[in-house]
Amino acid sequence: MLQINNLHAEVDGNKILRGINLTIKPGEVHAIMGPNGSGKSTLSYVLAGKDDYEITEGEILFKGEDLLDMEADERAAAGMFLAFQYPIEIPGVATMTFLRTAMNAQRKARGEEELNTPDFMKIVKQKAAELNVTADMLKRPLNVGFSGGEKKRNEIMQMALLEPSMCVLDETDSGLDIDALRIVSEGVNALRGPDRGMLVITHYQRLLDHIVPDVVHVMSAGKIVKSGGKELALELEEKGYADYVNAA
Amino acid sequence: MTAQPTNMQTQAEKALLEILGGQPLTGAREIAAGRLRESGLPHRRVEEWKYTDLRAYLKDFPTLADQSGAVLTREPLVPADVSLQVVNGHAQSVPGELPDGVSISVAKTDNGTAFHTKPSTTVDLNTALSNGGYSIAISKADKVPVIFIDHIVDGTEAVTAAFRHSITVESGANATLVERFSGPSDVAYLVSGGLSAFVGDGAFLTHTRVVNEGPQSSHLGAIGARLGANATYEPFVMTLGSYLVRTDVHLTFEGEHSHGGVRGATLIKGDEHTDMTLEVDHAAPNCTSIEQFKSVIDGRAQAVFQGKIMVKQIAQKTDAKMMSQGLLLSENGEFLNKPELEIFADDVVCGHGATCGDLDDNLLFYLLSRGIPRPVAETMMVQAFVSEAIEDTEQPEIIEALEAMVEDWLATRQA
Repeated sequence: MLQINNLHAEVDGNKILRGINLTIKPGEVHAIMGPNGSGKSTLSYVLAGKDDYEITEGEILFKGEDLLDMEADERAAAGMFLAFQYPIEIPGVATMTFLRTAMNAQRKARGEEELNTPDFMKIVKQKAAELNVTADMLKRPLNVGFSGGEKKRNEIMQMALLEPSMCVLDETDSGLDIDALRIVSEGVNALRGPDRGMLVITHYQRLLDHIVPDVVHVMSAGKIVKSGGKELALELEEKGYADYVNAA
Repeated sequence: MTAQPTNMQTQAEKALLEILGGQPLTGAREIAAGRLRESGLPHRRVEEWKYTDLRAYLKDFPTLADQSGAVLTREPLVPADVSLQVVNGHAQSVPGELPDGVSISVAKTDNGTAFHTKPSTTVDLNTALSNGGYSIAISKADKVPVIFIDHIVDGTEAVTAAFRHSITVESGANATLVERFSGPSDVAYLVSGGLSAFVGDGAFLTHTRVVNEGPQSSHLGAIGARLGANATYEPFVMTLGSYLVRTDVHLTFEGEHSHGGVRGATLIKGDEHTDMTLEVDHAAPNCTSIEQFKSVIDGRAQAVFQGKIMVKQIAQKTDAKMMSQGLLLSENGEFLNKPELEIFADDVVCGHGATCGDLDDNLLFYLLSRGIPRPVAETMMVQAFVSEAIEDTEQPEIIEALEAMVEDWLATRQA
């Protein structure tokens, strides 16, 4: 599904990623944990195709194709999805218009038929209800005036609607209360499936109680310094990152 | 030997003087013409024209159009109760049946005086050259009338179309006025389009002006409005560029507790130049005004916004907020923004803001990351930028018409 080989990336001359190796197979959920500034968010942006990063070495293969060769919108159409740590507010763009444009753009890029209004409304209403996204939120401009929890629920709803094959969740748990964390996690778990890979980036083991990963990686100073099973997250929670920061 | 400094007259100035000399003028027209004869066309050393050097821009001043008889069939911009047409500056006949509370006649010259008394070249040209226009009076009725005036320049000859309408919305009455301006694409015609509006006590006027002239034309628009007490005037000026567009808006608060919502959107490309010059005069206490303008600039186009809010000493408790924002879609576009506040009262809330930037990369990336292709994402963002000013309009039909024009403009931009 996703294969990252020796990935180096920098921004404004600062080396952020220094040789990431990571392989995610269909159906697997991987978690990346690590201290602040270790490059976790950079990795997520590089995967989604943000312009600000310069790739100096390495490659990313997504379903066997060169991901770095694709524009951000092409990556999305190919099945890559990033749930933002800080979802962007876009005044003047109604959430519904945005959702419909995104869904139909992806369908068009894949050569599928565009959704008509009744079908679109039906799907949105169903997914919105599952994630506690109210009709009022759908009417408002995208993310404008949404609380932190509402923004994150909106991200997961988009993920459910776009049905990507590779989901990258960048600190989706940050800013969530206990109930919101449960709703968001249930939304993510509902999308787990044999054909879908997931990369969950988080600071806290708490999220991984809800979204149980197959593999946990520890990232420090732009490298993956240790990988293990879900018990690694518990160990980190107890001991902290100190051992790994020094190791890197 | 002493040298007398004389200004070289430009071709346009010579032509203008010829036009002014060719007709007998009296009263306000003669005063305005006198000022034009005296100082010629304004240039960049005149503060109000610093960014729109009219002397340099106007290559010629075409002769005034003769009476034109042809009434053209066009779809109104929005469904209207009264549909009027001005062809080559001449108001066509008024429909026989008018809705309750609406009376309209065709006035000759001296039609409306709601402008500031301070001389303004845009207004002087209109005063001196106008051959009249519609004189509209609205009294209180059950239904709010929608009046549409379509201004068309027609033909293959370069002409000057000059006219001035007046509208009086009487006490407690409510009206919607929609104006559209258009003309041929291959003729360098000139339009001097005036509107004088009196909004009476407790009256409400919604006014939309769409300037969508031919690419070679020059449009000099003048809007003057005076508000009584508890009155509301909500103008929206949509400018799609041509060679030159300058619109002067004068708003005067004469009674207490009135509100002005002055908004506009400008979309320009190529070598187009637009100038929105606004002067809001708070001359009575307890009035509020909002000024909100959006300019989208592509190519080598240049947009100017000059907005002045004047708060007279008597106008305590004034609340005025002005915001002008530019969005640059190209490296070579230019946005010149000059907000001014002149405040002589001490208990007021006044603010102004001006921004200028290109499309926000973070917003763009968010849309791209959801699979929306770049051209579509850019269109969505420009629409969103402009919509902020449009969506405060009360009538959904007008919002829809304006948004459709934005969409068309964006489609031609990317084509």
